Amino acid sequence: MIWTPIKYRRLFTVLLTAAPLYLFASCDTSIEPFKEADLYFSIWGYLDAGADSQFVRVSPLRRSISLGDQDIDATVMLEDVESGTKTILRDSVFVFGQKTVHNYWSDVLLEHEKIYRLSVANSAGDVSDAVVTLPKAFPDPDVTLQGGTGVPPEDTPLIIKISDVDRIAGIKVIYQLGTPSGGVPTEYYEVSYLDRVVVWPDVLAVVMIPYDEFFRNTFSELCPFVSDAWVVVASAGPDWPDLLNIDDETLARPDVVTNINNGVGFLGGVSSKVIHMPELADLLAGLQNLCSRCAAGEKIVACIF
Amino acid sequence: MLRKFFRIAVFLSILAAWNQAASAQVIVVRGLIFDRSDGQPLLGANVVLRDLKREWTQLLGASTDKDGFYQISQIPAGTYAVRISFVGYAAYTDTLSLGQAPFVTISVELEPVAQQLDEVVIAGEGGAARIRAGLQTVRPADLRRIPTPDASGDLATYLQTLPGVVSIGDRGGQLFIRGGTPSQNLVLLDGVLIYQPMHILGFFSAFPEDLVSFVDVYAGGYGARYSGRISSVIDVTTRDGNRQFFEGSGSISPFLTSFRIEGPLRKGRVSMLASVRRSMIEGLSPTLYGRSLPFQFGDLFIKVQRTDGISSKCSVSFMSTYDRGRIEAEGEHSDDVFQWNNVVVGARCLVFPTNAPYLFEITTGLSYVDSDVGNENRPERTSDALQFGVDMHLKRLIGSAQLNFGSFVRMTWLGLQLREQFLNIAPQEDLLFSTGAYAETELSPSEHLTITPGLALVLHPEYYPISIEPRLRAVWKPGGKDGADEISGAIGLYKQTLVGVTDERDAGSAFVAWMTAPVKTTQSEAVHGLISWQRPVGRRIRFATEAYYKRMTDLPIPTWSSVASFTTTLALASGESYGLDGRLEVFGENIYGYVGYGYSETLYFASEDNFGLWYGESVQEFHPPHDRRHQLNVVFSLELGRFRASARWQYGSGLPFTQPYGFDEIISLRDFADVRRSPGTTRLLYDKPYQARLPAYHRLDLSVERVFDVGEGSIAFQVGAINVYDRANLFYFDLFTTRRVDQLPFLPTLSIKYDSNR
Repeated sequence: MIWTPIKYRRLFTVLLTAAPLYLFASCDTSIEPFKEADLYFSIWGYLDAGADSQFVRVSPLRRSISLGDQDIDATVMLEDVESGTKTILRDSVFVFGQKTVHNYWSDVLLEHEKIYRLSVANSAGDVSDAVVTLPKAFPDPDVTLQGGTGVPPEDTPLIIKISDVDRIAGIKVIYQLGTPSGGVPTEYYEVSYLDRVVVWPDVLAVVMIPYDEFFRNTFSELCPFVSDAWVVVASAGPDWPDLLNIDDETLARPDVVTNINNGVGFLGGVSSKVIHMPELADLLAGLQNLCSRCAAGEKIVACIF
Repeated sequence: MLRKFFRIAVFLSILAAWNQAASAQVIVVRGLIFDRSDGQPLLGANVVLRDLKREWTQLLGASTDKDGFYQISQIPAGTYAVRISFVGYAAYTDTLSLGQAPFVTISVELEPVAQQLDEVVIAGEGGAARIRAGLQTVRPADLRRIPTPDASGDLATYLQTLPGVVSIGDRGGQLFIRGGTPSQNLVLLDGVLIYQPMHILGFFSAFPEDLVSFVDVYAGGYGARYSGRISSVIDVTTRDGNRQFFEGSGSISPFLTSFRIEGPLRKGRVSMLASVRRSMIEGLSPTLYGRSLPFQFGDLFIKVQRTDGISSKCSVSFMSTYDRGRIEAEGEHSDDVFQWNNVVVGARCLVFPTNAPYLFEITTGLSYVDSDVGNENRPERTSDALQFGVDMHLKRLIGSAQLNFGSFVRMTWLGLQLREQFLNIAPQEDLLFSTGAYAETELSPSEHLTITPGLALVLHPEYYPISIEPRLRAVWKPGGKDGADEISGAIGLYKQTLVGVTDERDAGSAFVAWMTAPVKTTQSEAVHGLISWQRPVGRRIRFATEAYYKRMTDLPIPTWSSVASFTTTLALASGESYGLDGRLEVFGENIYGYVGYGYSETLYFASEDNFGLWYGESVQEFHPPHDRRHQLNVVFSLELGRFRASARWQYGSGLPFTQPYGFDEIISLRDFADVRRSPGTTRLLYDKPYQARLPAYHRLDLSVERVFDVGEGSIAFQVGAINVYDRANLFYFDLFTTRRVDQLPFLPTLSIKYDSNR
């Protein structure tokens, strides 16, 4: 075909005519920012055979960063897979500053080594669920503060000996922060020590150094007063992932650590034991004054260490 | 490595020496051609020698380049008729006797005779459909045809009409050329680097129509003269000031006020040109448009130029720009103020010694940019870059071949404070020294074919290996020199050590962090290949098409995170971009029309450890946020008497974005957190990167101008509108507030410009 000027002019005219067609074909300015998928609910938490109540965080996979403070359209049911026994969990609203969250709970007692199914359904019939196997029972751990004053460089290690567990889900201390005069406790603070686990034959232990760990690392020399303390140890069921070997970024991926069908999150199975440790609180309370002096800039030996 | 570099340098020296010897027996005629009315150099003037004693002899000739320079070599001794012509100017004719002298200089000032023809001629020489292996030369007349919300045209607006040039939106001042990112574009102001010349409001750059003489835009495949960037070159040559008389202009519009003055400091020899512009829109927009347009920008340009009118010209120029603005007028990020400033000081000399066969060009310059974002008084992130460089270029003819070679030395200081936005980049100061050389030869083995092989070498004494970058450009005219069709192509290897990193997760980010290649000290690299075909159809229609392919490696990009966070780390991606442009231009006496269509596809390939877990594949292939698949531009300009009407319609298919599934709160089970005591960390659950597309973009801009004579000058009134049919073009969607931020709505404009030189 020979392209003559006339043909070029025709092509130009056609293109000019086509331009408005493009325009009308592209009138839609709306945007669908969220991807449609069969993911209905976010479910987080664990079922605990050692606890006298169960709390599970449930939220619809929402399309706003704001949590809102309204009820959510969710029916949460816990089912013993073997017996078929079903329990409806009740909603409870917890407020953390600007965040309002829904924790569904029940005082049903769960049994070790049994399989449970937790399902969350909305009124449209969309269901997210998870099947969880609880671990076997394990003996009470041996928790001791072993010697020393806790004043650097003479540390006082906290030894937690655990036996007969396949996997540890968590080791943490819950500190009750309060006032020296014995006033109303201000808040609870949890510190996980799972990364301090040392594996011996048949025994797992945690070594903690009270002064450095607590005041320097945890509270950056803010020197809170500790009025009470509890050690919490939990064994994990077979589905529990090896969380220590997965970085935070990976943990946040939707498909990496999840056992929620048609949803996101993770529901674990654990068996926990709580050991009251007032002697740990006493030790830390005694060190508070030392911490304050270091924070004020004194050059005493404990501060150097 | 040093030894290797010196070996190559020795090779180049030998090549130059051979070149010198080979040229010993020829007569060379060269010179500079100017416009007598204002002293501007004339690009494209024809210089022809005809042997008066041998009528059958083929004519010898050459055309002038951007400096008005021409050179004809290998002329036998004899008597010649000289004719120097340029459409719109009275031709210069003379008789020339060539004998003993090996070098003869004829520099001439041509007298303009028919002003009305000027416009047609310029259109014929420039134009979007005149593309040669990625190169398009842009003239002020091209800029004038594109409506802007100001009385003058601007390079930024014009570039956005070209196929393959993608702008994310009408703010931010970022241009992506054929898959490359803004920091991969080399922008030169009279040969000196300018880092971030596009203003924050996308209609404007530091290069308004009044300052530009012409611009060489290489969308890829550029020759060995250019190094240090891997995507494109925008080589701006500014006008010289009027060497004959003083003139000036001033304009005002809701967006901008400007003032320009130029004239002779020594008549016929030394001239000056000064221009200052300042934005008005931030202060006026609440009153005029009932909305806040929080943008401030401006620039100052001064140029002093001297020529002896015969064999040399030198200039000193200074440019300062500033930009400040908030991408969002209100909302969560409204406190994020983007600011950047450029300072460029440069000097350029062009000289051809009377006893040597070279055209010698030296450019030295200082380029500075500081860029920051965050609170206006306490920016969160800052980036500074300061470069001092000296470039030398030599050009000479050997028979029908032209040899270009040169060298450069550059010292770059970088300062960076990112407040941990990119976690693997620490606050740093860096000093980068680089030197290099290039050589390229323009060979014409036949009347139909011109090939330009070249080689660029860049040496960084520390960190990086020597860069050896071969380039090849070729032009084939099947019908011979005067044939209609022209097929051209280019291929080349390009490397970039100094990279600009932006957070591609944020479409609204105008912050560029300049740093040396940040990951594993690996230079970014690209291979370009392109082929183009152009042909005029009659006198008034021109058609061009170009296909291109770019392969890119080691591009720093932010890694992907499903946690909604400001921080990220950098990873390296490879990529490819390919596409096809089509351009059609129609020139009439009073009418100009242009349709440009571009199809392109840009793909990145990134490997991140977590991808394997997340997607089941360790390497992800995705379209980056500037991958625009289809682009259509229509420009129409009509002159009726003293009226001029211009229209520009743009269409761009939707840009990629990453679609999330939704928000939830992560409970840290590693810490065995109790849901009763843990609020959780907010998480945005993303799909694979950039799998979805934003809505298509299109907009119509119009302007009508009427010029009135006022004494010796003229006043132009221009009314116009941008986004005439008020299309809600999405700029970006803020997922955290589920709020869309649109580009500029329908805005009528009125501008007035006084020009003392009618």
